[in-house]
Amino acid sequence: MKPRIRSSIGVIINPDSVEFFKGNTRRSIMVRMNSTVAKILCTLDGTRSIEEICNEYNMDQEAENKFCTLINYLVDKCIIYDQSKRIENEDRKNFSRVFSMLEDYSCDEEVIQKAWKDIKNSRVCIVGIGAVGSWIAANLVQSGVENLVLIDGDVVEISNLHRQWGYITDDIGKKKTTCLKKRLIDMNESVKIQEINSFIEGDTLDEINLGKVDLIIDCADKPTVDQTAVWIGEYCMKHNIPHIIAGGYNLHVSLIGQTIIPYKTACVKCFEKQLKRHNELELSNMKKLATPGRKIGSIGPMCSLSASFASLEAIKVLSKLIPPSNINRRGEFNIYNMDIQYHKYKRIEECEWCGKNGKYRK
Amino acid sequence: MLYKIRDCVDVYILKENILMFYFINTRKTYEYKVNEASIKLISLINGERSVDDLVNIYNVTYERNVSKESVIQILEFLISINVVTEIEPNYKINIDPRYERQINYLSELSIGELSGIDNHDKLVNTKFLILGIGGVGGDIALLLAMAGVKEITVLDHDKVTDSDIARHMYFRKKYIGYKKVDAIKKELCMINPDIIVNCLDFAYRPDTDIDEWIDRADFVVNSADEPYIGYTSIKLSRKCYEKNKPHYIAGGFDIHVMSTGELIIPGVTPCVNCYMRYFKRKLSNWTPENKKVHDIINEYGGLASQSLFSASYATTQIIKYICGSEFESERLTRGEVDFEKYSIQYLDVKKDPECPVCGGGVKNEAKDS
Repeated sequence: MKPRIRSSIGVIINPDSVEFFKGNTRRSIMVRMNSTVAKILCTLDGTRSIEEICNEYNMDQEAENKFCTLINYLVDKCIIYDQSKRIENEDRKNFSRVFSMLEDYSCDEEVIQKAWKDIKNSRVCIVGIGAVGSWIAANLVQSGVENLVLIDGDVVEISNLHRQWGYITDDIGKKKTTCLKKRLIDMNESVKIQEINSFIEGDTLDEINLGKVDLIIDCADKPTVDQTAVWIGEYCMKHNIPHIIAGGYNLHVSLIGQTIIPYKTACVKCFEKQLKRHNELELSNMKKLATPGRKIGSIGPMCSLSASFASLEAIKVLSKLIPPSNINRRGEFNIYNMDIQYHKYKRIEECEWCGKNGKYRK
Repeated sequence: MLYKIRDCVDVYILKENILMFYFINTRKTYEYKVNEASIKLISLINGERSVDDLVNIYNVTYERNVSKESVIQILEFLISINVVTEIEPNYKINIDPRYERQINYLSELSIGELSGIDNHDKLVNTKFLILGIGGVGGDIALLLAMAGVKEITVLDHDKVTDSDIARHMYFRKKYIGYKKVDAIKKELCMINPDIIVNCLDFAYRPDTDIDEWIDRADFVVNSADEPYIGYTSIKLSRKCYEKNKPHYIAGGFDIHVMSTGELIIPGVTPCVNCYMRYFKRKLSNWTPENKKVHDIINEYGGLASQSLFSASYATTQIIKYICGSEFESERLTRGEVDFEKYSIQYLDVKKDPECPVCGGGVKNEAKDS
C-alpha cells in the first residue's frame, strides 16, 4: 500500500475538523482529526509505503494502527488512492478525466478498471443522429466508448448545419450515418461503428438484428418523439436494455430526458400515462387555431445543452458505478430564467408493460 | 404588406373568449381577453393576405361591415405583442436556408418586425475574441461558427496532444502535434468556408499586450486557464471594463467542472473584481492546504459532456445578450450544476459598491452620460 491523496481533493483544515472537498463532484466529507495528521495526509504522494511514512514521523504502534485505520477509512471515502495498485497505461493517460470522475465513487483499482472496461467495451445504439444525437455520439467517443450503432435514414441538409455536430458543407446530400461515422473515426480510429441507414418504424429494431447493445439513446422524432419512444421503449423492455429518451426535433430545444432502467424505474408506458394526464389537464378547454406550413425554430447551443445531460447520463449508466440521475423524472431547461425544472413520474402498478400484470413483467 | 402569425406561436382559444399565445421555442405563454370578432380575424391571418384582403374576406365570410381602421388596430396590437409579423410579399427569398431555423428561434428573443433576421445579422456580424480554446473555449468557438459568426480570433499557445480527445470537440487524431489555433481554424473553416479566423499562438501572460485585438472585438470570451484562471480573468476583465467590452468568463475553472461561467456587461452586471471580492469574503475561512502532488492537470477537469454543458450555456447567454433579450437579473451570475442532482445553484454575487474597478457600476454609468 502506497497511499496517495487524490489531487482533485481539496483539504481544508478547521480548528476541530478537516474538510475533504471532492472537486469533481463537489461533495465534502468532514472528519475529526488534528491538523498535524491532516498535514501528513497532504504529503502523501504515492511514493512511500505506510511503514515508511510511520517511521518518518516516529509513530509508535498505537499511532501506526490509528493511522492505518484512518487511511483505510479515507480509501473507502475515495479521498486516498493506493498508488501501488494503480495501472498506468495509455487509457489512463488519455482518458484521465473519466478515471478521475470514477475515482470519486471508488478508490479500489479493480472496481475502477471494471467500470472503465464497461464504458470502453460497451455497445451503444443512438437512434437519430441530428440536433441531439450527433453531439451525444461525439461525447461518448470522447469519454472512451468504442462501439456505436448509428441509426438514421436522413441525408445531411443545409438547414442541419447550424446545430448538428460533425457535419460540414461538403456533406450536404450524403447519408448522415456515413458522414458521422467518418468524423468519429477521425477522432478515434479504434471506434467501431455499425451504420444503419434507415428510420425505425414499429418492429424495425427486431428486424435489423441489432445484436447485443448495452444502452439505447432515443433522439428520433419521425413520425413523432412520442411514437419513437414507444417503439424503442418496447424493444428495450423485451430485451432488458437501459435507455435514455433524449428528445428529437420539437422537444430537443430544451428537454432533459429521462433514463429508464427496465423493471427498476418508470418505463416509457408509465411516463406516457402520467404525461397524458399532465397534458390533458393543461390543455383542457383549449382549442388550437391552425397554423399551416410553419417551421419550428432552433439554435445550436440549446440542442447541445440538452445533449450534454444525456451524454453524462449515458456514461453514468455504462459505468455501472455512478448512479444515473434522471430516473423517474424529466426536465426542461428554460432559456428565460436559465434554470431546469423537473417533473417527477413514478412506476405505476397497472402499467401494461412493467406493472403487475404487464406483458413484459419481470 | 402581408400579415402572418409567426411560426413560433401557437394560438389557443380558452373558454370565455380568452386567447392564449404559446411561444413554442421558449415555452412562454400570454393570455388576452378578446371579443369574438378578433378571434375570427386572427383565424384569417395566413401570411398571404393584406389589410384590404383581411377586411374583405372578413366582411364577406361573416356578413359584417368592419372598418379598415379597426382591423389595423387589431393587427397593430398583435404586432406589438410579437404574435403577428408584417412581411414583404417576397420575403422568403431573403432567408438563407442554412440559418432558417435559427432565425425563427431568434425572432422570439426580442420584439419587432422580422426581429429574427435582425438578430441573426447582429449575431453573425459580432467579432469575437476567444482566449483559450480548450474544453470549453473550443466548444464555444464551434457553436459560434455553426451559428454563422463571420470573424473569430483565437488565442492559445498549446499544441494538440493525444489526451485532447477527451477535451476538444474539434479534435481529430491527425491534428496531434498541430498548434491548437491551427487545428481549430481548419475545423471552423470546414463548418463555414466564409469565416475569418485570426490565430494568436501565444499565451496570455502578465506582459502580453493584445489591446489591438480587444479593440477589434465586439465580444470577448475568456476560457484561458494558464498561467492561472483567476489571474487572466482579472487582467483581461479589467481591460475589457476599461474599453467597455462585454465579455464572458467560461471554463478554465480548476474545481468548477460544470460551471455556467459568467456574463460580464460593464456597468450592468458585477465585474470580475466584484466576483473576486465576493469569493474573498465567502471563502475567508476556506483555505485548502498545499498538497505534494504534481499531476493536477490530469486529475482535474470534467468529462467532455460537462464542458459541452458549460460551452452551450455560455453560448446561449452570449446569443441572448447580442439579441437584446431580457435577462432575469438573479441569473446574471455564476451558477454550478450539481453532478448528482443536475440542478443549477446560482451564487448571489451583486455589484459591489466598494469595488475599486466598477464601483458598483456607478463609474461606468457616469462615463456613458
